[in-house]
Amino acid sequence: MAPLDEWSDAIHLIGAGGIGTHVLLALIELGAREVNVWDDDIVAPHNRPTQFVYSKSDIGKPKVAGMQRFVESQGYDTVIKPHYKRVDAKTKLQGVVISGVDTMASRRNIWQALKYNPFVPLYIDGRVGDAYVHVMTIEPCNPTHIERYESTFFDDTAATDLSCSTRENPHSALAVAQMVSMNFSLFLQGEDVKDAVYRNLRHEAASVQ
Amino acid sequence: MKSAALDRPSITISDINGTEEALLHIDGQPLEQYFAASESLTVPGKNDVAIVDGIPVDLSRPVEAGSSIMVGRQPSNG
Repeated sequence: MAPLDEWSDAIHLIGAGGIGTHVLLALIELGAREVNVWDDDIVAPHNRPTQFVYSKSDIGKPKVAGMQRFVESQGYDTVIKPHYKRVDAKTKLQGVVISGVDTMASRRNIWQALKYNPFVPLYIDGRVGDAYVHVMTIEPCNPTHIERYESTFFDDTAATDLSCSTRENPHSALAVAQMVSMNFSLFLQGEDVKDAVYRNLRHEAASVQ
Repeated sequence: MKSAALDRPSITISDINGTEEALLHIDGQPLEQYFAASESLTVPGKNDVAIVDGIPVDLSRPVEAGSSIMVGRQPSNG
């Protein structure tokens, strides 16, 4: 029996890029029946090497449509509900929310739809850059989580020039997918989950620092 | 049973140069004081942040025994 076999509430995946495509695979393997995917971007040629769900025929089309086509073509039991738009304060969300977006501004917008939202029991926000991975696992009505999560916001103009998923660095998005899978599973089992985990994958792996 | 961590309050600090398991004589030592005194770790640079138990903190914040501290960049890509 898959962990999500009896999960009847909605699952939202915001962002269909490097993190989102790998998280999708984790959700499928966990047994998700339906995944709402939110993204207003289209597939570009440079996305294909690291965002494995997209084919050449998807180039120029919405990423959410490409993701839906991929899942249907593979014959998975999971159903993709595509939403070709961004999430903002007015978006009504209910269920578990997982994001892997590109900017802090997008995260602030998503957070407006989630903060104190009693219909969202769990929010997982994955962030990557080079070998750095930051994953926040938040209960949106938990005051301690709210305070700690909001302390991680910074202005996009202060963001350092770190690469996203590339052929040289597929590991950070894979690491987020692994952590989403683990944290979601622990949540389903009623276990406590660390609300903030920061990793330097290079530091963890290299034998000589 | 009393834990070893309470007997010997320690913090773990990681930066690009390595990891240092430190024994603090005074629990609550500010991070900047610790970095300044360290012989092997570098003070976080302009683009670096000190992250304590997963949350970025100001260097003037006191260190609590048992904390895990990492120095690095804050990612924001997806």
